Order: sequence, then structure tokens, then C-alpha cells
Amino acid sequence: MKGRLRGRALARAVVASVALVLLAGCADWGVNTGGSGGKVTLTYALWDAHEQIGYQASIAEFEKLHPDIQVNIENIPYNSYEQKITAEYITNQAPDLFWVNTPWLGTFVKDGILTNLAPKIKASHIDMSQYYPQLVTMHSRNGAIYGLPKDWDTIALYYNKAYFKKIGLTIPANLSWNTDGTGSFVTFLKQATTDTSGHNALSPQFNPGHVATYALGTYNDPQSGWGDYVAELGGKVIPYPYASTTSLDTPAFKQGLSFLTSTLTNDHVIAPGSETGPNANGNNLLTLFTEGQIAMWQAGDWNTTALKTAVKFPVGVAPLPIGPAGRVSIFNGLIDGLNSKTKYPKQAWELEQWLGSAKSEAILGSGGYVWPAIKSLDPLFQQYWAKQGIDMSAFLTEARGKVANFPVSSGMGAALLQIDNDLGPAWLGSASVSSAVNQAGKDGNYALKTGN
Amino acid sequence: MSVAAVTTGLGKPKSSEATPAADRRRIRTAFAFLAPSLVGVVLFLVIPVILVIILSLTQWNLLTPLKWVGFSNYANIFKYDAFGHSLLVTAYYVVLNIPIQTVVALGLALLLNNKLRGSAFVRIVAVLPFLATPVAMSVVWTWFFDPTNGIVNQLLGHIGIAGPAWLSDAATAMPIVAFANIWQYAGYNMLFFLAGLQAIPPSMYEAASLDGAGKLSQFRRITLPLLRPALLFVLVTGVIGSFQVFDTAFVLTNGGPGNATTVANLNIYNTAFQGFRIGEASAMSVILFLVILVVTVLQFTYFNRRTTYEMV
Repeated sequence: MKGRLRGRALARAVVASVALVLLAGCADWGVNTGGSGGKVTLTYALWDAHEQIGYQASIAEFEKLHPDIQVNIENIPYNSYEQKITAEYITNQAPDLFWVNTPWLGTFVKDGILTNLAPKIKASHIDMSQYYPQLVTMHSRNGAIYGLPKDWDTIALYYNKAYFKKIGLTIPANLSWNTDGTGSFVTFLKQATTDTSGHNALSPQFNPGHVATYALGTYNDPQSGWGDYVAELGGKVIPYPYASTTSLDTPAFKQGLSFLTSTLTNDHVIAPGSETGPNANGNNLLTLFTEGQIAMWQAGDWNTTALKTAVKFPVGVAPLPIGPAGRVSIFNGLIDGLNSKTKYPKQAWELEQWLGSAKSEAILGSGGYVWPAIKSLDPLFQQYWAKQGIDMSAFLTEARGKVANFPVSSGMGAALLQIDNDLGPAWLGSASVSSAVNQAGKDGNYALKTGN
Repeated sequence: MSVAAVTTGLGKPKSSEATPAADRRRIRTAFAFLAPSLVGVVLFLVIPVILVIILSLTQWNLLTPLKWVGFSNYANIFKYDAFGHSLLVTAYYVVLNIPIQTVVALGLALLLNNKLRGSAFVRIVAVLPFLATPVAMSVVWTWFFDPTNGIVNQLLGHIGIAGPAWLSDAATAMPIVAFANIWQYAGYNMLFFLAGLQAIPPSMYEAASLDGAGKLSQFRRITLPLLRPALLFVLVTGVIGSFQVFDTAFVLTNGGPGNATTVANLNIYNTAFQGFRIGEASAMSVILFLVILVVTVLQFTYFNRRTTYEMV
């Protein structure tokens, strides 16, 4: 009797422990049925909660047109997006279609996560010339195309209209700068920077220890910060797409960075790196702008909604200043990557086509979510924001002018992270530009080499 | 306390009367009770540790096939990934964190061991930080230590001091990370000291004071020696936890400024999940494991010579 009880206890303990382990260790066994009756459920991943509202509206239209396809949106936080997509892809759980930002594009292509859509585009007779050609180039490699362009971004200067009215200053249309610190841009920034007694930075009484409002807030960033100034000197992070070494070790790169971290910082006309966030990463800039501590915020158009809800003053947008190589904004845009292991390639392609179509881009554009990648639809986005009281034409002027594509290469996400980390001390004044850039070049090269 | 049991060993059970059959039954029962945790230990500890050691000898980005590279990862992490710097930064964090945290915890325990009115309430308040989520707290600390609009610099401003950019200054960033963790865990560690203090029989203090021992020498000769098991536990778990610090550094500074707070675990995370260099990240993990192992063994050896576990 006792022995049997023990035996049973043993069996129970084993069963219980196995069950426990299974429960604890295994979250999802991948029960991902498309449902019965031929209805297919697609998963669509993105990271922006605000744009998700617009996409939901567009996808509702798509589902009306395709009653046999249901689309579930999965929101993955931006900071772990690349990792999550990769991990899900390995375990066959990746979304069927998902937003791809350009830092990860090269890695996703190299790892075979994305489907080459060129044959499908050809078969479906999609007119690629309706899109900004730079966006098509950005997402192509050796004849392969990895997504239909959906939107684009440029970088410009949001400004506090109330502040400029108060100090009686209007922003001239074509400010320019040079590496030696001359040019109308620096003079203008000095006029627009005021201390607590109301003296501007051109005045001999100006007290740089008590600045009330810095003219400009910018930060340690390849797209919205130093990237644009480096591009306005003809410099780049990598010499050509899919390069496996950086081109940081060029005069253009060092001069572009130095213009911000030395010239403008020493003139006290931009918010010091230490105030913009740890490693000068710009976390605080929106707050500094809404609090009136910076008069202009250099940022991408995707910030407009957050900005509009945060500020209590009217906002305008001025274009970037003109550098020695012209006015050049970093240009970026998103595509939807089609999971190369999806169970429903046909249906996912239907969704890809819809989201890259004029109908869907018009929904997103006219709702003020994104600038449509189809050139002719740009006015929709502009009109939405004009009604909200913000003139967005500076972003469009830049997109129609000279732009520099966001760099694409395998390992770029890791490389840029490392580069920003290494450039931080130059922004914080604890390292020289050349030593920071040398370190960034070395670490960036290693990330690209090992990522390729 | 389990640590004490493990270190002293339980001694051989007296089983002279037991027959071999009874022994077997007993062992079977013992294993039945151990089975759940044994399965857990093997699945989630032994196997992963072995896998990490194997992975540390390979090149792998999660997707491509494993490539055998021998020990080259161990050289590369010091040459290209500044892992040596990360270890130093981590050691600096441990040195900042552990002494202060332990002294604060012990001090709190000594204060709260007195049966004063309200001490139960203060005890709860002291443990509350441990219940808060470190990541959420880190977000709150970033608001506190924001250079322009943070409450710390606002308050300093009122008394005419221009506070530093706490989290962007290489001199203050790591102390802030350590502060956040001390705040989080001091109250928790206090609980162990408090339990230890309450296990000391009051009669020992009575005897000591009859012999003319003052408060200070009572503390040195009775309290501290009898608290050693608690101290061992707090120090060992504290040091291990500190070497593995990740969340607060990740949220507060993300390793910055520059690499001033890139602790070992943050470097491992960035290497594995930003750079997708799993082999190198595994090599780093193995090294970190060895470092923690050595430090822990040293702590045990030191305490083993001096620890009393039972009151006689």
C-alpha cells in the first residue's frame, strides 16, 4: 500500500513537473491557422501607434475588397523591432508583412528575411515611376526590389512662431553656412539666441552662462542631426550602398560634425549636447522646444503630431540651411517587407500592393499620417496640416530638391548605434571630434564587416 | 537559509538501522520531490550554460549555419568590442553599489530592530522600493536627473547651484545608476539583516552588559559575528546581481555618455541583439560567468573561515 502510494506520488510529481516545465518554457506552439472556410488571417507589424490608426483605416478598406483576408496588426516597440522580427522569423512566427526601416533593410536582405518582389511587380504591372525614384533605388539591389515605397521623410526646422514674433525676427528663406563659421546661418542663430536678460548672442552684454533660449536644438543622429550637415558637405556614412566599410574618415564627415559640436556649440547657439539627452541623443528636445528653451527644433516630419499635441504656441517649419554642397536633407522612407517564409505569399502580396497603391497612400496622406511616396499625392498631406495651422511645405521643398538617401548596408543598425555611441563624447565636449570620429569609424567598420 | 545549508553540508544521516531497500525507497521519494526543480535546473540552467560555451567557439548570427572559429571570439571581444572596458565599468559599479547598499541595509535593520512605535510602518516603507519595477523607476529617475527640467537641478537652482547634466556626465552617470539600484534594493537586503538580528537571543546582550561591555563593543563582538550568515547571503547575492546589472543602465543611460556606463551585460546585449554576433556575446557571457564565479568563491572562502551558523 505504502509502496504503491509512493509510486503514484512519484508519477504525479513527474507529470506535474513536466507540465510545469512545458507551461513555463513554451509560450506559443505556433497554432497559427488561417481559419476555416478559406478565410486567411495575415499579421501586419508596425511600431508607430499613431500611424497605426491611419493604417487601420486603410486596412478596413482592404478587407472590404478582400472578404477572404483578415489582417491583424501587431505593434512592436521600435527599440526592439529589428530583434523581434529576426527572432520571430527564426521561429517561423514572423508577421506576413511588416514595416521595414532603412537601418535594418540591408541586414534583412542579407539574411533572406525579405522576398524579392521584382517578379511580382512585373507580373502585376505596377508603375514604379509613380514613386520618388530615390525610394525605389533605396529598396533595390542588383535588380531585386524589396518593397513598394509607401512614404518618405525629410528633415527641417520646426520653429516657435510666438518666440520669433516676440524678438521681432523673421527667418530668411535661404540661410547658408560654411565650415569656417561664416555665413548668414550662424549670424541668424546668434540673433535668435537670447539670455535671461533678453540680450541676443550678437550683443556684447550677452551672458552665455544664462541662456534662456537657444536658437537651435539638434542632436547626435545620422538622420536628423549631424547626417544633414555631413551631407551638405558631400559626406556620407558609407561610400556607396551595401559597402562593408564606413567613410567616416573623410574631411566632410569631420567638418560636418565639428560645425555642430564645435562651431555652433562654442557660439552657444545650439542646446548643449548634455541637455539634449544622455549621449546627446535628443530625448529631451521635444520638451526643450515646448518649454521655449530652444527656438527651432531640427527634426523629421513624423514628429508633427506629437509636436502639435505638446505645444501651446503656433509652429512653423523652415528648411535646412544651405551648406557648401547645397541644401541636402537625409531622405528616408518605409516599405512593407514580405516575409520570405510566409504561409500566404499571395495574400500578403495583395496587402503589399494595396498599401503601396494610390488609394491607400491617399488615405494615409489625407489623414496627415505620412507624406505619400506617390509624388502626385503629396498635396493631400500638406493640405491636412495646413488646416491644422502648420505649413509643411519646407519638407516638400527639400524632398523635391537635393537629398541624400539614408545609408543601406548589412549591419547598418548596429553600426549606427555604435557610431552614435562613439560620437557622444564629441557632443558632450569630453573628446575631440577627430578622436571620436576615429573611434566611431573603427567600431562602425567592425559592425559592418561582421554584419556582412 | 539555503546558502548556509549548502555551504556547511548536512552531514551524513545516521542510517545504520535502515535496510538497503528502505534506503532505495527513501532516495526514490527524495528524487520525486526534487524532480520539478531538477528538470528546471537541467532545462534552464545546465543545458543553456553548455550551449553558451559551445556557441562562444562559433560564429553565428542566428540565421546562418554555425561556423567553428575556435577561441578567436575571446580575442575579438577585447580587441573590437571593448569588453575589457565593460568589465572595468562593471567592477566600478559593483564597488560603488555594494558597500553603500550593505551599510544602508544594515543601518536600517539596526534602527528598525528597536521596538519603537511606527517601526512596522517604516519597515514597509523601506521595502516598498523593492516592489517597484526597476525599468519604470529608471524612467522616473531620468525625469529627476534631467539637466534642465529635472527636479534635482530645479531644487539645486533655488539655492544657487547649477547642477550637472547628471546622466550625460561621465563623472556622475555611473553613481546615478548605482544610486538607483541602492534605492531599489537596500530595503530588501535590510529584511535579511533584520531576520538575522531578531535571531540573536537578547540574553547574550544582557550577559555582555553585565560584564561591562558597551553598546559599541556589543555590536562588534556579538551583533556582527552572529550576523555573518546574513551578511554572507546579502553580499553574495548582491555582488552576483551587481555584476549582472542591466536594466537600470539600459534605461537610464543606455551605456552613455560614450561607453562610460556600458556594463558587461549591456555590451553582451548589444553584441547579441544589435550586432547579431552571438558567438562573441557568448564568449563575453562565459568570461562574465568566470569573473562572478571567482568573486563568489573568494567570498565563500573568506566567510567560511569566520562564520558561525548556530547559536550554542
